[in-house]
Amino acid sequence: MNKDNLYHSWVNTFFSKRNWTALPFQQEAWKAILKDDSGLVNAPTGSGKTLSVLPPILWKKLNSQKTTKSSLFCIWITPLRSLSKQIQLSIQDFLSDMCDEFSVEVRNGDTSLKVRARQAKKLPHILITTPESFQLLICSKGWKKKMERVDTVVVDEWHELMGSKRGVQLELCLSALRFYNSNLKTWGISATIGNLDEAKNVLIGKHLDGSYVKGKLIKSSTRKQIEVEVVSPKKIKELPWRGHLGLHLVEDLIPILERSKTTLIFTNTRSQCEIWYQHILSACPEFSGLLAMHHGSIEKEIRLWVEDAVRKEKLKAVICTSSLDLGVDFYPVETIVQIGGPKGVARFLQRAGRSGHRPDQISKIYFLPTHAIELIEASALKKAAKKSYTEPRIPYVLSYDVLIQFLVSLAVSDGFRANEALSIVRKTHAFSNISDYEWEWILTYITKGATSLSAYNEYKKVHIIDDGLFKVLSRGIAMRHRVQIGTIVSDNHLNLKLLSGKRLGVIEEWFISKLKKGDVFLFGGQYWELFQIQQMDVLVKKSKSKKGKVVSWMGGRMSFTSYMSDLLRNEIYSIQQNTSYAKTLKPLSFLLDMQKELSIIPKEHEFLIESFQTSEGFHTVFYAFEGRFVHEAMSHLMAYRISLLIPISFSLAYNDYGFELLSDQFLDVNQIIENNLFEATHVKDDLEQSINASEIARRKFRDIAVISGLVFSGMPSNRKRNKDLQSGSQLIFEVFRDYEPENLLYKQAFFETFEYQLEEERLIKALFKIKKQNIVWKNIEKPSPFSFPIITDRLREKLSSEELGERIKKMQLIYQ
Amino acid sequence: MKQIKKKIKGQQFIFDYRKAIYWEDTSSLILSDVHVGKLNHFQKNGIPIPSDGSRDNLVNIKNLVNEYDPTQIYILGDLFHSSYNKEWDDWLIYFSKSEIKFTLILGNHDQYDSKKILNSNITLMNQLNTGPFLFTHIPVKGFDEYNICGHVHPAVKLRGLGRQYMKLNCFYISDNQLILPAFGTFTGSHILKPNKTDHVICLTSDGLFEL
Repeated sequence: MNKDNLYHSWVNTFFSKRNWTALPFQQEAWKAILKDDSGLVNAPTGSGKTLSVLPPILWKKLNSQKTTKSSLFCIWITPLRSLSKQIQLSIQDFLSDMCDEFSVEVRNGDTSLKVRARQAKKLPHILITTPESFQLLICSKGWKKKMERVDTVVVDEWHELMGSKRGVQLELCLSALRFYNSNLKTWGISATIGNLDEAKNVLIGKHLDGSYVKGKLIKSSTRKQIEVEVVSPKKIKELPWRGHLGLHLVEDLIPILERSKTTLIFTNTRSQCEIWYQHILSACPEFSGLLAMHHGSIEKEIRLWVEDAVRKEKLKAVICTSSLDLGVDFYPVETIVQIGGPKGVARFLQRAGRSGHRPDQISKIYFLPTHAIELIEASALKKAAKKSYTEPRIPYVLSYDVLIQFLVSLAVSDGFRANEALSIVRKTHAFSNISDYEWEWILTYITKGATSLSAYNEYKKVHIIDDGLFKVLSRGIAMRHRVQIGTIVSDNHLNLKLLSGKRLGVIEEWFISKLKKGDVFLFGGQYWELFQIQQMDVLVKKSKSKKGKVVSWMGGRMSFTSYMSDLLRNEIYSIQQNTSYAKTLKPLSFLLDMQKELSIIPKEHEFLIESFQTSEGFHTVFYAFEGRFVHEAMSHLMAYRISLLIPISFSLAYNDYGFELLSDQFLDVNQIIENNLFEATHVKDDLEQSINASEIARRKFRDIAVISGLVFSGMPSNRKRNKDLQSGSQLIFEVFRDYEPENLLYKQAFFETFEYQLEEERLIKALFKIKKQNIVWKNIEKPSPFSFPIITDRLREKLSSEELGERIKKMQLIYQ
Repeated sequence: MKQIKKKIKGQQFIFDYRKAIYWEDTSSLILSDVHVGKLNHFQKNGIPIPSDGSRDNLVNIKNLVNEYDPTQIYILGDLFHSSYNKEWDDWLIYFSKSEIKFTLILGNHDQYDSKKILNSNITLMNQLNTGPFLFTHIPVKGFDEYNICGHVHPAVKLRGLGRQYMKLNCFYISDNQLILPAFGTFTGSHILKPNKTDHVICLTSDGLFEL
């Protein structure tokens, strides 16, 4: 028997015992791994992706030299902690049957101190971890020695990591591991995205000359059939014009839950999750004990319990946010429900794919629109499910904040030398183009400060010791750095605790700051009464009250992807072409008729602008149907260009359909048309000008400041003592703006704003599109149905060209 | 407006756009919350932020002194941000060379174990009664005297038609209390919501606005 046959007969004992047959993509992956390739396996959730890479890795180890068997040889990276357990179980299942001499353990933020201590002495053979914990391992002394026998790193759900800074973090860590261990193989597992080949290249990294290291891309041919059913109320008048809760549909949801063994209900926000949980329970009390909730702010023990209970079929339904989006394979799940627009086709289809796990099963997803206009979205999604298109994930490049964090990590553990570090950094996709100037700047920044050294006369972080080794010498700095790595970038979080000290989860500071002692709020499906705030802890007790504020979270506003926008636009343009409304839009006819009566429903060659006045002021609403991010940019651009013509102050609002300029004076849209304000030239200059006057770059800077270690959020155990090191990123932003605008971190905030937030390219395309359209300006008596979801949005930006004194004169103090 | 004149308890004050007040009757300059050494403290602890910004603080104080020629300066706490660092030096030299009498009301940030302060020509106090006034760092209530204090770094929010908002640092004046804005740059602020009887003098890049 040749080597391959030996392997196959070995692995078949596992498969045949379970009456399984290896799928073609699994066999292909095995072959590539046995041949010592690196690569990426593209397989949908629930199709046996773990088994496509695990067996050959173990087989290779079993057949290697005895002496190397005692140490860590495989690192398995998952983007979410909640995935770790599931993966551990499925790996353990294989190990117990096939090679029980190998051990598998989890290490992440949830790992207990006891287990950590044991792992510090001896790591398991297979370690399941997150990118943050992986970087923390690199922060520990002697990491190179501990990891010298690692021959394979598997990155699960790579598509989720790639379009984020965590992806960059992982690229750097992998490159470091490869530098010291040139035999390292990297395997990614990814769901279907539009740029799989790029995903593979980014994961495996580059040669120093900039060319990609070779790797295999293995695609499974398994394709899920997906059926979308839109649930809408019988009478359209029951469907609200705005809002995102969708509670009017609770009654319609109950029969769906009753019909199915286990259902996952996806909501877009955590507060929506909380509210739905309450409403389902009160509509159907017999579900109590069978219904659970899962979102990112709920304490991990409870989350783990929920996940486990789903697997054991103990629950009828789980209401969740994207916290359950990733690959946990919940076999018993039969039905998926999506409440409110999912924003992207890929996400929607992936969620749908979570039900019907057997390859031949049809996945069914119910879509519950939360407001009337979302019915148009629903109609578009149905079409998308029939085609199979997926959006690309764009990898981040030149994230200096992540690079600084990484270099300091190296300096905290064994130290690094500049030339070695540079080749580690240049071999990543993210930094293959870093210039010599930028590299020197970063090294100077972590050792001496930035350009004007006199302004850094007392700064110390990384020292260069005699032989050119970059090293952190201060224990305090090293400790603070380690604490900072796992920090989730978002608002300040406080711990929510019972008086007894039991932790319930985390809550954002701005929310709790609005409450007084004795106030009642809803969290984790239960009403709590605020008792006291003690430094970083919010102490609460259970409340008998059945009413209270709902905890809300600021983060996580998503935008339509460009594909989703295309679908939506076509859906709207097509409304007018047909004499009668399409079936899915029938329930909307009342609203569409009203829109037509007051204003128009735009056709393909029309760009609609509506003006009307309310008690809030003068509204001008533009309908571009390009997705939230493009509208954000376009609203800034318009507001800025108008403000050059006349002194005026705006507050800006936008959603996925369009944007609004709200002002205290009437805006003559003819001026916009005559002055050609939709011009696609000078977009970048104008945006830069307008953004200087606005807040987007500041917001971007918040993440950058935390990641690069400029903002310190405090030690978990001893927060108060470091209070004099705490400062808002806003202040730091201003210091850089005024005294060091050439600082790369400051510049990065703008780069990210244009590249990832405002999506400049999409904006320019959209402007060209508008130039070819006829602008239709409708001066109307009252808000149209289309405008409603936009003008009621409370999250707003501002822009003004009026004299400060003039503005203040027109304003009023906010009193108690 | 660069300056606003105002009577408090029968005494004449000038509110200056450089975040200080001048008490004409006693030729005193009063300011609070300078946080000298904050940026250097960050630097020493591995946080790379340039400290050019804090130089403006001393420049501002010198300009104020040139203009008003006070005989004494009261600093209502948090003159220094943390323990001694090099940023203190310029200030300590300034204090020792000046003819002016300096009084520091102790703040929660001031660490006075440092010999550097004790040896300089600053009088240290926990609070001070002078005329109809009680100077403290942290605002106090329930005294007969009018309380002049700092600590809070007060700001207010303004609202206008068309959902417009603005946040401005301010002098915060209520019946029996005046809270000074933070004198130092890089200090942050805290939003207060006034009563109808309170009034505020807002600080903007264009000068002072009384509301």
